[in-house]
Amino acid sequence: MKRYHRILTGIGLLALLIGCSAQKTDSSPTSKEAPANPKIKIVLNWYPEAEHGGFYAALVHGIYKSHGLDVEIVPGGKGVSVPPELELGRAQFGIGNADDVLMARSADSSMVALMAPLQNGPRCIMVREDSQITNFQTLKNVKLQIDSGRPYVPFLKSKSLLDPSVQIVPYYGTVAELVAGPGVAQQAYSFSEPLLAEQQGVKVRSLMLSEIGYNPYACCLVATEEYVQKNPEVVQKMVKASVEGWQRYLESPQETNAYILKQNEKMTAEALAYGVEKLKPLCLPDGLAADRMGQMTLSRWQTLRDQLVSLELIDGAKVVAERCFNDRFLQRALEVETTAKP
Amino acid sequence: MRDLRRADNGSSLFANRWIVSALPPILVFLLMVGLWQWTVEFWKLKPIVLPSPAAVWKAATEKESVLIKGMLATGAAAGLGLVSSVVIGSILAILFSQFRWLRLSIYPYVIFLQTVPIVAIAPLLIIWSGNNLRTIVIIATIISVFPIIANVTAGLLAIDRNWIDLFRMHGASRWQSLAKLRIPAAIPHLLVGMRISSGLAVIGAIIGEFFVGNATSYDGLGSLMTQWQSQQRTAHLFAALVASTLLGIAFFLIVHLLGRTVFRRWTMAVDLESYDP
Amino acid sequence: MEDASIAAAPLEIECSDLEVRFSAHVPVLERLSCKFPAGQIVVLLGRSGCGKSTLLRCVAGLQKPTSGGVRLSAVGGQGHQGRVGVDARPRMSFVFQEATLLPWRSAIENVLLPAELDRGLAGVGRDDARQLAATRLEEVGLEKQEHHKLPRQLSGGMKMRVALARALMNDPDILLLDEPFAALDDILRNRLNELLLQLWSHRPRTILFVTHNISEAIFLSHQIAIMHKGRIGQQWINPLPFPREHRLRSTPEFSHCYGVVSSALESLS
Repeated sequence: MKRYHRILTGIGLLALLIGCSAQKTDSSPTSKEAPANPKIKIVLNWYPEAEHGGFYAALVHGIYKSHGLDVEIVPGGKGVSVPPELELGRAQFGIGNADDVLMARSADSSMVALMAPLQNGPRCIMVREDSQITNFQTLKNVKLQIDSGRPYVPFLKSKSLLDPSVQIVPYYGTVAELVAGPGVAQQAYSFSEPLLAEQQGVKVRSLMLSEIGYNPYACCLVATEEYVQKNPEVVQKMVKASVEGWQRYLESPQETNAYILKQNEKMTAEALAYGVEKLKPLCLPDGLAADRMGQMTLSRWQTLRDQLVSLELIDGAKVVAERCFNDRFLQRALEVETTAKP
Repeated sequence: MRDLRRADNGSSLFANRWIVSALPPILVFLLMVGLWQWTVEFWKLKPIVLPSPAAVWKAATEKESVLIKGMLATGAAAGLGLVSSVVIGSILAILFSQFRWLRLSIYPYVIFLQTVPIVAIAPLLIIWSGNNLRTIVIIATIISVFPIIANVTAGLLAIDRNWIDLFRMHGASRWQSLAKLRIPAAIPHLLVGMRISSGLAVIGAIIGEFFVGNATSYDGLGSLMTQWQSQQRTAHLFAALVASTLLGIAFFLIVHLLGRTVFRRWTMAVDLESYDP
Repeated sequence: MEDASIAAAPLEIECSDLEVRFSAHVPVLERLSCKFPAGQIVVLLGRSGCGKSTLLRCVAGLQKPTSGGVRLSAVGGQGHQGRVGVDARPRMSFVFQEATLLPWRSAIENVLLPAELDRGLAGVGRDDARQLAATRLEEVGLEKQEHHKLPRQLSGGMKMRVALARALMNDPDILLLDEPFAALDDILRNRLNELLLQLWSHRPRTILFVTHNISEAIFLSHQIAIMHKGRIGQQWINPLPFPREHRLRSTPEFSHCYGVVSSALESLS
């Protein structure tokens, strides 16, 4: 009996120790080398949508697997924030817009962008077609549902485009009010909410923020600097596979969309199909070829960084444009692409 | 015979009691802050995961005037919400106590108020009532009214049988019983309900601000929280959380003081100072 | 106010075939018939559960009998005679075992309660009522500076005095008391018994007093209705003379009565 007790106590203590050490982050210097085929998690920045399509395509069509990666895509949503997930090591990769990356870096996170599937930002202000508003200059006398913490609000203010007659109220994720009656405008993603409104019988107009100069890269693949430093091979494979996934998605999204539908019950097949169509000009603008997609330039990062500094949203001393992105892996992936083509 | 428990000077007894009862919570607070600081340092947590107490303090002092204005704005909405909870809740409780059929048929739906997910109702409220202070107060009221209804109804009904008999013996009418017996007897119950509702009213006002926006030209604590969260300014977010906790504590203290001053007669606390056998 | 009123004729209490049953089993009061003479102090004495409190509550109108009834009549049997011209209902007061003072009202405000409630006292002005209440309190031994104290600031004995003062506020024809002094110590109880007799001697009204304490019953009563299991076993006439003072308790006559009553009580159970 005594021996039995000792064994049980031993197991109990061991469980306690394992539990305690499980809290430690991967960034500690004493963590072991990751096993050969590790489980890689990508955490999304919202519920699964068309904008995540390329990554899902790489999963669904076995592209990650063929590169030797065992990938799991973790949906995001309300209450899920990407930077802490990466910092705590609960996910290895994440999705974020360029302005998210800059703000996270200003908050002492070491997030870095690896590729930018959406070259132009989908962020827009959606207005009813039957309203008098045709462009930003005529944005007046409406109730604007918008997330006031996001950078484009102070951006619009700085360009004097937010007339005092515009009442700013929170946006909580539904098109109900805009559909219900006149006098309401709201923030939107060009490939998403407009369809929802039209399905409810209201024709809308999208005022793209990219057209007035606020154009962060969207839906970037991100990771922490430490992770990139320690696992360059994994990062290389991930970037290559993701590019291939996006190329696949833009060509033939049907199977992937079916999978996304299962991951997000609030989605519809129609919305996803619409999304893909609207994504194409954002991913491949101005005749950009698919085998050159996802690239990032320093000047655009610099522009965005300067914009956010002047809006006092980030600490200029902490954020240096060059360190916000790392396209080494993307370039190598694309080189291999071009050499593979006959 | 002298009561050895009492100090000669009544006021020093009071002061000692005050210190003795305030000390433990203060010690616990210091302990918690110390533990927090240690946790951040030991696990090397990044501020975006958990900011240190020092970082939160820095953010709070940086945004001091913004936070104070936020507390005033949210406090005003919460205060109006609490007052309307008390008024509406008490009126409903009186009706429930007087009309049994009303109580049996409607009370179950009152319980709905306790459980309703505000996330579902807020959009409807905004469509009906607009993005303004009134809507925030409605939300705060909905969230904080149930404890008032439950406690006051119980207080109005749970009357000592002897008192009821006394009133019957003297031929009291239903309204006399209500005014001179039931309502005074229910006041301590009301205060118990208010203690709970005061915190809920603050939470309700903040949630209201999440959906409705600002009621005044100042940013309320709820608006500040959503903004700072979007901007990944976690230390500032924590500072706003601390401010909202302080606001809740302030409301609680106000209710407590009401019980000891204005409503002293009805709260029936044993009065040690003037006991004279 | 006292002089202006018509002095009430003391009321006789008659119970006929009174029965109170709470369930199909044993009745609390069983076909009880009795008469309690007007203007006298009758003590209902018995062990716990004999039905004495229930009988009192039936007389008070607080308990509805399952069958049978209670009739209150002026001497001469002319049916309910309250104050002529004001309210035909006879005026009754009840003193409970716990003083039952409203804790948010001061002593004098508690005594004022009947004046506020009783529509029969509607003619009394506010100042007069206040004066009357103060007088009542002084009669039961509460000095002016105590009138504004709240019940939590009063001892058990003082609270009971306030309850008595309140019960006398509306000048009742019948005073009902349900073991009012049971929670107090012996000395206090004796003093309050003497006070009760004093008050009665100022204004002889019909008093029904419930107790399980034999010497209290003997000290107070003109008559003791000894009860057992829902019936009155015996109505014993008290031979001791009035006025009664404290030293009466130590006399041999008192002991003799005590012996008689207690053996009567024994033989019933």
